[in-house]
Amino acid sequence: MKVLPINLSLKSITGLAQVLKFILVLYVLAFCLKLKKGAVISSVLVVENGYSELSAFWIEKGVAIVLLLSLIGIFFKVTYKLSIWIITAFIVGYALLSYFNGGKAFLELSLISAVSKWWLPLLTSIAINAYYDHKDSLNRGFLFGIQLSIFLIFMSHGIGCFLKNALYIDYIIGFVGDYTPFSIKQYQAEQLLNIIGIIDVIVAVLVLLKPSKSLLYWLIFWGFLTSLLRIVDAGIFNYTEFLIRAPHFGLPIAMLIIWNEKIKAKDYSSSPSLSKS
Amino acid sequence: MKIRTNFLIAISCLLILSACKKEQPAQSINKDIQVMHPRVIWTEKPQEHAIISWTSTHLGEGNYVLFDTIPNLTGNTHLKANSSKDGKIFIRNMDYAEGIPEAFYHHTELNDLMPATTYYFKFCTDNSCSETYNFITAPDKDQPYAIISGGDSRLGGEKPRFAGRTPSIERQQMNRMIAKLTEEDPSIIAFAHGGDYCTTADWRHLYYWFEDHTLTITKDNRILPLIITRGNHEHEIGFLENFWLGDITNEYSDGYFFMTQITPSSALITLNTETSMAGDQLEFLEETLEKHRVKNNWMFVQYHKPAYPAVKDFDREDFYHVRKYWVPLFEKYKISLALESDGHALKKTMPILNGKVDPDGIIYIGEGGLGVPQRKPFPDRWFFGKESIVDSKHHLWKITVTDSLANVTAFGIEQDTLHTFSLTPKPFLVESTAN
Repeated sequence: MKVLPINLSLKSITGLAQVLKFILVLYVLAFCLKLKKGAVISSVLVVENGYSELSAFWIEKGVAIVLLLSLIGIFFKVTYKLSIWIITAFIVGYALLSYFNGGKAFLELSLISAVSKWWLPLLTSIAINAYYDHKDSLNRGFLFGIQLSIFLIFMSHGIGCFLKNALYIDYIIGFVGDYTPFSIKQYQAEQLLNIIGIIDVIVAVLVLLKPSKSLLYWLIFWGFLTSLLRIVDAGIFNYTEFLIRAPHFGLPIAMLIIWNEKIKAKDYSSSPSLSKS
Repeated sequence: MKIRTNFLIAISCLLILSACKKEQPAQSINKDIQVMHPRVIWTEKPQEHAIISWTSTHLGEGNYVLFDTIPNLTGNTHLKANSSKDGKIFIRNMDYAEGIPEAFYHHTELNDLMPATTYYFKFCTDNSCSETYNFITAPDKDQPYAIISGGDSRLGGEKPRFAGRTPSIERQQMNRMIAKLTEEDPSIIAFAHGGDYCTTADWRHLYYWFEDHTLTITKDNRILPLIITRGNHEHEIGFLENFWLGDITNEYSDGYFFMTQITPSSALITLNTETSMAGDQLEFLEETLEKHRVKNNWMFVQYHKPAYPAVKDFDREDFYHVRKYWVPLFEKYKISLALESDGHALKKTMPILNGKVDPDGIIYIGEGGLGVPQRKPFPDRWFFGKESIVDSKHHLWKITVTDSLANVTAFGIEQDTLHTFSLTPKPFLVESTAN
C-alpha cells in the first residue's frame, strides 16, 4: 500500500517537534508528580503483592526518577530514541495497571483515553527525527496517528457525558454556582451533558473523516477549557489533572500546524498564477 | 484515505468480534443446589424492614425466606417471603480463569417486622434451604446500643497474585473479631461498612468477600445486619447485583445514599462519594438534616472517601468535593461524628470547624482497616493533634450510644484497644440554623 507523504516546511517540522515535545513533557511530568504523591504502582505493590510500604515507595520514586531522566533525554539527539521507548513502556504499563487495579468509575473510558496517548511518544519521536534529519515531509500515517488520538479522546469524553459521569455533573453544578449568580439542578446539568456529549461525538467523528481549520480551533478551545476546569473547580493544587490532559488541546495544535501547511500547499497548487508559471 | 478506511474497518471488525465473543460456557450443572453467603441488609427503617440476601448455585424456580420469632422453622406456622430480585451474577473471563463458580444472587425483603425482636430465618432456592440464622431488628424506643464501623476489606482469593496473603488472614481475623465482639456485647446491632469490600466488585473478588463475611456470624448463628456504603472499588455491576437496597422510600435508592433511623433519636446517614456530590445527593443531605436533625440526638454520617485524609493527597479533587459540598452541611447541622474510609490507616482527627481545629467542631474517624494492608499516614497534617490518633494498624470502630454519651473505641486486630474517646450530643435547635 502506498502511503503518500505530507510536505511540510522546515519551520513547520520544527514547530511540530517542539509542540509535541512540549505536550509530552507536560503529560509525563504529570505522571512524575502523581508518582511523587503516591499512585497506583505503590497501591498495587503494597495491597496486592505484599511489598512493604517502604519498598513500594522507593520503587515508585525510582520509576518517577527514570521518567524524569527520560524526559530530559528527549532533548538530546543521542538519547531521545531510548527515552521515547522508556516513556512509551511506562505509559502503556501504567494504563493497564490502573485498569486492572480498579477503584475508579468508567474504567473502560479511562483506558480508551489513556490508549489514545500510547503513540504520542512515537509521534514525537518521528517529528524529532524529521527535525534532526532536515526532512521536508512526514508520512501520512503520522497525521492519521494524531487524528486517531484526538478521535479517541473526544469520543471517550462524549460517551462519559452520555453516561452521566458524576465528576462532569459536579463540574457543571460547581462552575455555575461559583461563577454565575445562578444555580442549576442535577437533571439540568445532565441535560447539558447530553448536548456536550453529542458535540464531542460529532467533532470526534469529524476530526477523523472531515477535519477543518475551524474544527481544530474548536478542539483546541474545548480541550483546553475542559482541562482547565480541573483547576478552576478544585484549585491550583489540582494541577496534575490539568497537566495530564495537555494532549487534549496539544494534539489539535499539532494537527493545526500540519493542516495549515496542507492548506498552503493546496492554495499554491490551485493558484492560477502559479499554475501558469 | 485508503489506509484510514482500512484501519477503521479493521477496528470495527475487532469491536464486532469482541462483542459477539461468547463468554465461557456454563459449567456442568450440579444436581444439588447449594445456598450460601447469607447477609442481612438494613436500609431506612430497620425496626420493621430488612433484606435477606444470599447466593445459590442455580437460579431455581422458587426463592424464598422462611422466618419467625421462634427458632423452630420446621412447622407450618412460620412466615414466608418470596424473593424480590434474583439473577445470574455477571462473570468475566477473569473470574472463570480464577476458577470461581457461576452463581446467582437472591434478595428478599422482610416487611412489617416487630422492633427489637430476634428473627430466625432460613433462605431457600427451590427445596435447598440454609441452616437457621437470626438477627435482631432495631429498637423503636431509645435504649443503649452499639454499632461496628469500618471499611476497606479488600483482598481475598486463591491466586499467588495476592502474594501469600491468601486466604486473606487479616480480613478473616477482623471478621472473627466482629463475631466475638457481637457475642460478648449483644447490644451491638449493626455493622456499618464504609466501602471497598474488594479490589473490584467482580465475582472473583466478591465471592471470597462473601465467604469471609460468614466469619462474622456468631456461634448462635446471629448475623449482624450490614449498613452498606459504596466505595471506589465498587463500580462494577457485581455491586448492584449483590448489594441490593430494595424499595427504600426515597427516589435515590440507586444512588446508595439514605438515612437509617437506628433508634427514635439516633440516625446514621450513608452517603455515596462515587456519584455526584453536588447534585441530588446534596439536596437529599440538606433535606434530611433539616427534617431529621432536630429530633435526632445523635446523627452519624458515613461515606467512603475522606474529607480529611490521613494518607492520600489532601488536595485531590474528590476529597475537596467532600469538603466543599458536604462538610458545610455537617457543620451547619452539627452532626455527631463522621465515619470515613479509603485511606488504609487508623485515624481520628481533632474536632474541625470552618477548616480549623475547633473544640466545637466535628471529629472524623476512619480510615479503613478491615483487612487491607495498612499504609503510612501523615501525622503532621494540621487536623491531627494531641487528642487525635493516626497510625498504620488494622482496626474497626465500636460506637456505643446512650442518651447522654457515645463511647467510641478503636479495636486492633487482636481486639486490643487502640484508642477510645467519648462524645456528648451536640445541642441543636432550629434557631441555630436560622442564625
